[in-house]
Amino acid sequence: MRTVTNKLLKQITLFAENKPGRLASATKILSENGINARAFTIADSGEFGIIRFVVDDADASLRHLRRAGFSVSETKVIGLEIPDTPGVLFEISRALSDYDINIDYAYAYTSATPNKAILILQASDLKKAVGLLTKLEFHLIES
Amino acid sequence: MIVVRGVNVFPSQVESVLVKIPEVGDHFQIVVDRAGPLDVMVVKIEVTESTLSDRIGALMQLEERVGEQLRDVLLINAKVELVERGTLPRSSGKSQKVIDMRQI
Repeated sequence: MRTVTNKLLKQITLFAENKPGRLASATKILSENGINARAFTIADSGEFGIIRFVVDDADASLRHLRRAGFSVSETKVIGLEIPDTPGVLFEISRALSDYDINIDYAYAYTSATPNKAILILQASDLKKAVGLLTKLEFHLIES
Repeated sequence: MIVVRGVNVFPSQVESVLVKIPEVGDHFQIVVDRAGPLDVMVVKIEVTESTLSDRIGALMQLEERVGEQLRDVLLINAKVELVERGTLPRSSGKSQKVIDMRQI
């Protein structure tokens, strides 16, 4: 049976103190283990940051980063392949808003597929958001 | 014991607060410094896997909540800082639990 979880992407969350070299240290571990970071974003509080990665092998990333001493966890997020055209982000955000679903954070990158973009988003109600976006026939990427 | 802004602070008081907060790890460090004429106390605590959230607001709220609970017991403000796991000294000795920059 397919569940909501099947339709979600695994995201790696890494805690890093706000000082030079932390991103380099983490990405060195990924690099040495042949792991490709498809997208990442940094949120910072001033003293520390949260680095969020979508990678091609989340389980291996967690294992290697933990072994290297990093504080890491796995989170489920929504990954959407969307047309790389004006108005799509508006359509998604309006739909979520209409159903009172808050976007906690989001980031995007261009897809290897021509004229497509990948939107990663975290929502206040993932199950409801997945149901809505599926109903609207958006293409959800799975881990 | 250290005296911060005229108030006696015992590391054991800090420890007694932290052990009651499940999201907080076992290790902490108190750093006291001066900002102008005032003493400033920072309590560093390590992030644990269970604490770590992808929402930065949740971590900032944890810092605030720990700070409030420390203030209730210590009766002075303490700034709480999350640090990476494994970065605080693993010792019960006061010399490592307390860094007093005012004496340096």
